[in-house]
Amino acid sequence: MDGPLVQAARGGSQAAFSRLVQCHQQSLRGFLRRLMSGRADEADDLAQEAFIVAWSSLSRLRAADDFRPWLFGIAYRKAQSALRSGRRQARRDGEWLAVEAQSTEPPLDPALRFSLDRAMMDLEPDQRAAVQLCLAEGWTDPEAAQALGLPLGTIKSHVARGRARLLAELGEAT
Amino acid sequence: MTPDERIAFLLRQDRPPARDTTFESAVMRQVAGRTLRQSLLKALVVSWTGGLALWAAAPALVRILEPLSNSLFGGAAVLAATLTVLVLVGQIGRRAETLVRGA
Repeated sequence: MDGPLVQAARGGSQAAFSRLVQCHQQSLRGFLRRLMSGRADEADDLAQEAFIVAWSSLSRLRAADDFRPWLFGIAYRKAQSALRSGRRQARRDGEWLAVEAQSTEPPLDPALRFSLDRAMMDLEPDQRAAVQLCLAEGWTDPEAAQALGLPLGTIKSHVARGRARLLAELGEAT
Repeated sequence: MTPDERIAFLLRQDRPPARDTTFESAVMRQVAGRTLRQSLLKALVVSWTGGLALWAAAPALVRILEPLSNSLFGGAAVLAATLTVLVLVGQIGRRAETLVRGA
């Protein structure tokens, strides 16, 4: 799907790359926001950095059609570094309220939202990433495995555990 | 709504809008800046390498070009003078033509 745009961008077309940014910014930023526990500004900065790295290293992408998992892999590694560099505490500061204010979707029941955010925060970053990609973005397990650099079995177990955790949490909230 | 659909719906709540020109233009500005920096760096490397190569080859070039320039000096001067006259005549002709049309 992204193949022709990637080929054109490899040839130096900024218009083609702009189209790729346009196509993927929403899901990439949504993924990073969830991974960074709602810190939208930080997540958006990481998304920008990921796009810039992708632009600079497009020649290293083997299959042009694998652009999406490759891009998300770059973003995921950047988020992992950000999370590792001493920002874990801030993640737990309840910044989900800020995200709630920015959301363009119809408002959710605050109790439900809190339960969901708490359940997601309790998951390890790689579990959270797998859950977000497979359950929210509708990726296949192999695609998520490719993007996150994890074995397929690990992705399947992460998704199953995350799903069970979320359902239990939502069940309690409703 | 199935449980999975419900989870998907809830997890997608934090998504930014599908079109965000501010974000997109910020990314493309950085891309353009990076491209410009790379082009400048490339031009700098090429010009430095070229300059260095010319400097290294200067003694050999002088040996080759000096006799050549001496032999071509007369012809080159005549050629330059002819070209200058032709250019001047051409310019005067164009001006005259404009004046005639204006009148």
